[in-house]
Amino acid sequence: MASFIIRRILIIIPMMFIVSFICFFLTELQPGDFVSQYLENPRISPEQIELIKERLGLDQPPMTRYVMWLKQIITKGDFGYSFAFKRPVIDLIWERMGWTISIALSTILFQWIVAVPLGIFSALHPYRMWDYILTFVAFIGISIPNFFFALILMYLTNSSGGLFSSQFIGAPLTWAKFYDLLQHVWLPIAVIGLSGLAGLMRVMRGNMLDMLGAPFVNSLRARGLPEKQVRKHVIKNALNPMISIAGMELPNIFSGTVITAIVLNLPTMGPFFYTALLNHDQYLVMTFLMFIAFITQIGNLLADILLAVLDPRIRMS
Amino acid sequence: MKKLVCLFTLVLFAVSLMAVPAVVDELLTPEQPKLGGTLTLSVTSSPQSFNFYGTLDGVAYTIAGQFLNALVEMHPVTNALQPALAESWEVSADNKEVTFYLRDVKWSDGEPFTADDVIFTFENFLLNKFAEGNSIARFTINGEVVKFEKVDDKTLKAYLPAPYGPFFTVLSHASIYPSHILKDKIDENDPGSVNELWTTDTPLNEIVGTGPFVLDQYIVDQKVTLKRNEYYWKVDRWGNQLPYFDQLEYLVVKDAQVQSAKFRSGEIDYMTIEAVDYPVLKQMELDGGPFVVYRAQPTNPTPSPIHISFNFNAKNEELAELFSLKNFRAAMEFALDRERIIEEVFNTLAVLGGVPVLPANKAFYNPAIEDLRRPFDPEKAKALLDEMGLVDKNGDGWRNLESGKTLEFVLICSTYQAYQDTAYIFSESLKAIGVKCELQVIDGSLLAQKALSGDFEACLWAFGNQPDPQLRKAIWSPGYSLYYCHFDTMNPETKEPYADLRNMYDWEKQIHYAFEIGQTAMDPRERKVQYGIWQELYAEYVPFIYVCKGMDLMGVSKTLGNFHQTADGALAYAVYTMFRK
Amino acid sequence: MKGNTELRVRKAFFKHKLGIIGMIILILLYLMILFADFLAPYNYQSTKRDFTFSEPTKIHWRKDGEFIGPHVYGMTKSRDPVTFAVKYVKDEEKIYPIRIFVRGDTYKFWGLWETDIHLFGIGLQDDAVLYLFGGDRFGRDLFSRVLIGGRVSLTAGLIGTLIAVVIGAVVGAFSGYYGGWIDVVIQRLIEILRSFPRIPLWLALAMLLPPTWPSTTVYLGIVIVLSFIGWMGVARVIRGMVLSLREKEYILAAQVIGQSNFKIITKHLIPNTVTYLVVVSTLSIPGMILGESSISFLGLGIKEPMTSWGLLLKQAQSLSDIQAHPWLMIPGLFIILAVLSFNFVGDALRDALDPYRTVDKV
Repeated sequence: MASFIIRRILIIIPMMFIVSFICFFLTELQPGDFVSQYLENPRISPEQIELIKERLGLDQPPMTRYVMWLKQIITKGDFGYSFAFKRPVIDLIWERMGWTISIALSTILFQWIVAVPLGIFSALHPYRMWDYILTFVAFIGISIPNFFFALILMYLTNSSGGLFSSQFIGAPLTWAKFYDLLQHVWLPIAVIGLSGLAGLMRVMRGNMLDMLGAPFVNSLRARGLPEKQVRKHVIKNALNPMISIAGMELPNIFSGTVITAIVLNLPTMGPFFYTALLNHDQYLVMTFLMFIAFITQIGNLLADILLAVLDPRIRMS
Repeated sequence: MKKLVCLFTLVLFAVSLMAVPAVVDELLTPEQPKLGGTLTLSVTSSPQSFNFYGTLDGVAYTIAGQFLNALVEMHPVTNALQPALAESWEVSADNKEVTFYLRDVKWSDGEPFTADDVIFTFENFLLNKFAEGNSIARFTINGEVVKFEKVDDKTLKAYLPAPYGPFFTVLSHASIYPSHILKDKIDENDPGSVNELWTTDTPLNEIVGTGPFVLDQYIVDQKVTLKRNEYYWKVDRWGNQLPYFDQLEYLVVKDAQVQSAKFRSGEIDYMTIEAVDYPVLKQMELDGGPFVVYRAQPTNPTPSPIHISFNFNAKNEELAELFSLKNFRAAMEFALDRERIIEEVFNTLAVLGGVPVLPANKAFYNPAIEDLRRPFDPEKAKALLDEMGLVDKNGDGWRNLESGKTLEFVLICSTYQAYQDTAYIFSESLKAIGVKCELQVIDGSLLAQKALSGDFEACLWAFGNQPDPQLRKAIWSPGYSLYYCHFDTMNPETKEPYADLRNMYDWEKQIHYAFEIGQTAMDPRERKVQYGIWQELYAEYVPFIYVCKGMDLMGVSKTLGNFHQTADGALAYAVYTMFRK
Repeated sequence: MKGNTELRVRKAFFKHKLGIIGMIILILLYLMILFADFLAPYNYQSTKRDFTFSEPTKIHWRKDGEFIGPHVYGMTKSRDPVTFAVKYVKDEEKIYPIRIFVRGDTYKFWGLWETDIHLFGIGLQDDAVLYLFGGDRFGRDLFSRVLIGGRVSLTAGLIGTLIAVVIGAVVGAFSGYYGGWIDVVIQRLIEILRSFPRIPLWLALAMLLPPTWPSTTVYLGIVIVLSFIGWMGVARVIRGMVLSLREKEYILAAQVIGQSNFKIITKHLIPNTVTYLVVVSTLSIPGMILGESSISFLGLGIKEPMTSWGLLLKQAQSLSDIQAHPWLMIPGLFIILAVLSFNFVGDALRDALDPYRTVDKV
């Protein structure tokens, strides 16, 4: 087991190298650079543009910059400075990580709490009215463009986005503040959550149907186990394959929040990344992409380990 | 040229003001206030820094503007120059020496403000070429930089290389930094390190100022809070110390729809409104909504007036030659349906505006351009094109160039909806007169890059109006780095016009002279004459075809006091004189 | 045996009622975009100053209580003097009957021959329009724009998926068939690419498209960007299927008689995975349609004068529009309808064709 985990971890290192390379060239190939947004600024002169480029190292050839960047990461753990904020990108990402992760985790929690029971319910009553209604509602959730759904909900509920009313931003945590948060946070959770609900629900329903038809269920029944006990076994077995999905969930939600967070004005990484992308704040964009890639790798790793724990056969392959 | 300059500098014009207490005038305080409370506004993104000179970020300017002051300032309504940190000043007879007498002001931490702060700011920030937001160009006259010298703690001298008309205007943009706080933090071996001061992770009590508010709290991507500066140096007519509000909050709201929702629900006290949203919000006001929607004559640099330009140095030589002909550009102006654009893009909420200078800018506006402006007349446009031999030779519906190629060009514009829509309407009108105009919508910063490297055929863009044309000399005077329709006039080495004004048309030379004289003249009347010449030439030769200028549209909470519309139709308000009713 | 399977599949598919409804809607939608020019009463680009933001035209049947067939009234535009909102006043004296096969804007049907016959309409009038979905800010007919915009949205998803599935199938099959280091390299590559977040990657890729491209090329570019992610999941599953297939007797037999590897892969292996490919395609189209709308929403996708449902929706993305011109949201309904239908059809196909649900195990 240990050697399996070590092998799995070691493989992440070369993969991250390639990821960093792709990130760099993805940002490098984009037309324009950081200073182009300032060209029409009346406070800036052509000499200043050159000076800024020099200071930021933008006058160096791409390959040199990539190697320099990589060297800083390996030797100092320094992922570079944000051109716009003049601060280390890691600090900037870290500042926004709290809310990003909280919202992502709440959304995942919401999805699982809703999707799993509904999937089970659907599977126990396949092709009946409730199955259809649930399927229909869940599918509507994935079929509405996020940005459109968010705006419509905002209009209908007279909500104004964000996470808090202005008087609670920065205020110490009280019950009133927490209540205010709940009043705001349900909107992004609903918008992001509903878009992934149907998928999970359908998978759970399918797993259940598979298990219900599996021979071991018949044998359990034959042994005279009460129906309630049988269902327990079925559900437990149907949940197993969901683990690999869980591993991929976090990064998916991370990226899924980008557009919703822009529309709903959330203080998360999504809008921050988008602005950085448009402004060509290169190291910020690269580090963010690498960070998500890293989380995905970790997610995969955890899922693999969990699966290996549950199913010894996998360790061998 | 030299002679001309001397002639005008001979007209002596010494500004000398007596020391006056900083009492805010009636225009800003028509109502007697209630004190206290919080004013909530919004900004479109998180500030990239709190260091005015270390960034070019607009939000950082907005926030820094609340806690910093300059030696002089512009009146928020009339734009007239008035004393700020300098209580008064004297200009020498040769117009080359200005003595400033500083006001008795304290920084927000209680330390006195002195001449050292001014010297420190100019040395390390304003005139430090490594500071990202420096202002060297604005303080350079004929290649030489303005020098400052301390006389005593409260007196300061500025030496100008030559008389410089816009000196006080550029000075009003030069915020002064506290030397006692920052002096020790600057790495003397690395002048670029000033950019890393006062970044967004700085403890906020280390950021002090002389403005009405000082920073109190910053919640990343959510809110910037400022609190009342106890030491602010302005009082009202009744002797109350300003500002009235205890707190000023800026909510970080990136999305325009969220901003609108927050305004509707009363979370934001006032905001600028887009022309397309005006009818709905006005209706809400009429239905008893909690806010008033104002429609005012434009006085602000923004929304930037849209112009269309044709590249005299386009890569396609046949087009370049055509674009540099006055008659072609005149035909294009005749084909521009301003009325329709104002109707459809601006919901009728725009005015024709001037060429760069706003009609409301009494100090510089030349009304003669109104008769020179060519109204929409497709027949005249067609006639002009026919006259130039640009007729449809092969019967495909499009006019042809002399070489037989179709008369077609690419018009670039940025993704901003109003610009896209304006470009679309223009291209439709051109289609009707047989000119093929292909639209290319690109990101704003890419547009700047293409336009400013001369890599375009036609371009729809917008530059803000400034109170003083000198602030935009680089754009409007031929041969400078932003005169992007005719880059041949610029010496690529110096980024300035060639000494012999090579490649300039006669009318461009006249504009050049007008700017040169306007810059060194100290007499406002003389400056108005010079910039008037420039405006007329622009209207006649249309290197930039002006489309229109959006009105000042503002939504304001009904609970705000001291926010009103003046008799001239301009909006009068200031953050430090508003209060909660 | 074969007939039996077919029967089972058909039975399973038709058991899924939502799937059938979805199928019918999709057929209608694709027929709609196929004949869009003919169905649209107006050219989607023609602007009418007198009908900016005009609400959906009301169709009347009776005049003074008497049935005279479907007709519309003339309209005059005015502006509210205070709010500057556009208002329309109808003129009941001016009656324009709605006819079929009416002459209107000229267009080239399928790019083949020029005609000006439209299925229905009131012809080109100065003071009246037949705008079923209302007019946009330039007074263009939203109904016609939705029909034409559907061409981009519905085909982008389809072509994008096609590209993704073809690439995925070929790469997966090669990887599984050859095994060894080819397999290792391909699998690692896929794993790396899959660890990039989908939407940020789409955005970054969309930023790569040269802004100077004409709109048709941008359209192709968007399609390629969309398909860039889809192929990897397909490749993984196909590889797994091929791994087990290549041990089958008939493959070994084909190898023995000396058929080329390329032929074995394309003639024997890939055809065996077709049912899976059909299911996975149907299920990935919705994501691509939504992807196109997201990219357009952020202003990185299709640009004027071309149009797509995403772009149409983006231009209506404001609270004022919901309040004042709610009909501008109609393109959103079309996105939902199309995506929903694809999802239902995909779900039904999965139940029918893929009882062991390989698709979910990607």
